[in-house]
Amino acid sequence: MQKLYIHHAVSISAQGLWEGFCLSDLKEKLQEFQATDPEYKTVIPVMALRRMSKITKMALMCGLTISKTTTLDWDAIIVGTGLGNLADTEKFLNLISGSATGLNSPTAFTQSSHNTLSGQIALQLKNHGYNMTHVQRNFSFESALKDATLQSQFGMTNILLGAADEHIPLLDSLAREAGYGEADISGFGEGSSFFHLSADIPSEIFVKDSLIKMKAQTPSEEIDAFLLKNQVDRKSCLLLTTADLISNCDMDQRSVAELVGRYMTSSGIAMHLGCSYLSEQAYQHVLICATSSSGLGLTLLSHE
Amino acid sequence: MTKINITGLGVVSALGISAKHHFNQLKSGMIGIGHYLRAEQYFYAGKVPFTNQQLSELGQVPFSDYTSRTALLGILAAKEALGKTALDPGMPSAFINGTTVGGMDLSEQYFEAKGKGEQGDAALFQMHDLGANSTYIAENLGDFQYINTISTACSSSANAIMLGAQLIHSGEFHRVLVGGTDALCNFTIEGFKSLMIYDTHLCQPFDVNRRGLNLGEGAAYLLLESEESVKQSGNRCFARLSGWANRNDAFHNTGTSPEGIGAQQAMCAALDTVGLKPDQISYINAHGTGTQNNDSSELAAMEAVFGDSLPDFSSTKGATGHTLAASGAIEAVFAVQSLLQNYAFGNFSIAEPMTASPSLLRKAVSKEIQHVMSNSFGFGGNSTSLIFSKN
Amino acid sequence: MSLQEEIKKCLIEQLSLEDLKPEDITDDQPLFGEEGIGLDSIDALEIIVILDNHFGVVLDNPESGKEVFKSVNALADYIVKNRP
Repeated sequence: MQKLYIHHAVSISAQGLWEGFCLSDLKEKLQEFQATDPEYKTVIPVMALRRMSKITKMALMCGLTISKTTTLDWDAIIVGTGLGNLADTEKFLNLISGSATGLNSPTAFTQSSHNTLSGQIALQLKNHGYNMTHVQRNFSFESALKDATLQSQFGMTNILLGAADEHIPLLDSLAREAGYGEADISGFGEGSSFFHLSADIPSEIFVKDSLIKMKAQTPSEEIDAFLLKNQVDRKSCLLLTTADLISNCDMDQRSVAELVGRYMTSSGIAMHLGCSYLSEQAYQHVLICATSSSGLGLTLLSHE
Repeated sequence: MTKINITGLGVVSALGISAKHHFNQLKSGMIGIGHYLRAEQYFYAGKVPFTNQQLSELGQVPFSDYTSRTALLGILAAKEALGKTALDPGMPSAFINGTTVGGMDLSEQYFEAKGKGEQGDAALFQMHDLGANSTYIAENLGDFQYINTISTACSSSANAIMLGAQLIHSGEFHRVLVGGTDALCNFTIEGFKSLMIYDTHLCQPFDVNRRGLNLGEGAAYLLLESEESVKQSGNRCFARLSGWANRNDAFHNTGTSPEGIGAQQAMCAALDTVGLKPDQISYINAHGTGTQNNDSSELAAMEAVFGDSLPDFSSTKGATGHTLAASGAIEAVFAVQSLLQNYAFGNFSIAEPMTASPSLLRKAVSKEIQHVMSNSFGFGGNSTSLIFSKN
Repeated sequence: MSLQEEIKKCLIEQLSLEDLKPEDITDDQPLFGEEGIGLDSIDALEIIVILDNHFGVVLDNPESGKEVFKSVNALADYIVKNRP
């Protein structure tokens, strides 16, 4: 796989607004995982901001903040989201389920498309480049990254890669109705993470390899094979998981769920965290592991 | 450039089932858009003429109140496209699906119940998320090494096709089933009505007096194979996917720029990938939704790109309705058939053409077609252009 | 409250113009475009919804909207002429 250099990262989550690679301000032992809203007005024009629900604000804030750190135009803007714009979808559904006749307000509908995130970023930047949105559950971010790797092979060298998911109260009530326990429900989170990736401008930290398997062996077996393929010594590698810790895995590991809760694209913020560990040279490599009921996604980050 | 072979086609829409049937219907000028009563008002839509129960039987999957119509439409078209080709781990395969509504047809039932003060059934949300629909379709076909969903509004399945080609080009996959599906649902009907672009009459793409779109529903898939895969499968290559590009209009969240900047850039970039000059395109299956905005932007864009060599073009949405995410793939199937049959479809329901140029086809034309372009433009400025070439 | 005041309150609420108060919008000020308070085509549709749901006035053609919606005064005129 061609190296994709990571130049910058911005995330919004229960950890607040997180810019760049640093570990110092991480809040531990959080009890709930609502993303802390930053001052969106400082970055997003008010007339655009007024219509946006949280997921769009978070994604746009991250995307625009990163864009300010480079003079280069994006060749590609690629986003992953597991559930898309839930608030706008719920709003419009309530609207049309409430009134049999009469005109309906269009705003929520226009904001509800899954590609509103990538589209709004392009709109605010007047960017005409490649623009894509991936929506594949727990591997939405991994698929967006896979797309970024592909596009870099086709000559797109400057890429804005991101992921976002939002939490709305309806998710909690649906989870309760489906039999989830309160402990699980209180663990739901939300957030957005965006990255400046480059295929040709080097930096110290890069994506070395990635893998998505729809039907996987046990995570520890897959991790073993992946590390072997990449000749990575597990002692020099930190494992970051999006959900539970991986059993039978002889590596340092932590779960981002304790920092930001659980949401489908939290491997995005795991990548941000991973870059931060690498930047402080705490490890030579970071392996991000996202799992589904039968599969897994692995992303290997390395320090030059 | 790696050759991308198209060896399977499958399509379901208001016109019926199967690629061959669709070609015959389109050739005979059949319009699948019908007139239906809904909330005491009539409206036009391209409904697939089967209930979910019937679709389940046709698709040979168990019927369930919790299986989305989007997935059922998808299964039918995907099975046709895959045909008898086996999914073999030795020939890595992927399924790339484009959809916008996913299981919304089920989720909205929950809200309708709640709106009436009834208890909603939370299980209806099992297939709400888009990825769940793609996984359901894929798992009913066989073992794919990779499954992914693209959602970029009306260009979703065109982008799925493009991604599939790129995955083969990279060498990672040899067999990719690509396309998309969307079912008709209240969400999108009311959505387009709220934007005041849902025509209360039969839609008339590229007509001076066009008033908007008619929604449709459907699904279509293409089987793409590498050369290596074709040697093993022995499948006939119908056509090549030779060019592709995605760009962004960056003008408005839902509308397109008057000059169609995104469309222009996508078309030019697609021509560049295959190294063709504009005058080598014989026919364009246009996006042509029938809205004032899209059709004038699109025409302006085509004129800017092709100048004096504006190819014959038409929109088939006058026959199928606008099938949203599925439209890119449905129209890709039609484009491949145009190539195979040397046949350019006319514009349906056109009375007063937007341009005097004979390129805006009033009637279908039999002509030699070496290269055909198919365009899809969606909300969020998403603009995709695909080029198919004779084998 | 005058009709103009009522219209301004509706606009601020329905169009989520959170930073504006009614006194910030003058009766003759252009509502659309950069010279105005910066409303766009989606706002035009939202105003059609306001006219219908709040004032009982129907506007069928969104294209003619931009003329009717030029300013708060223009909106007030239209409502007065077309109220049921």
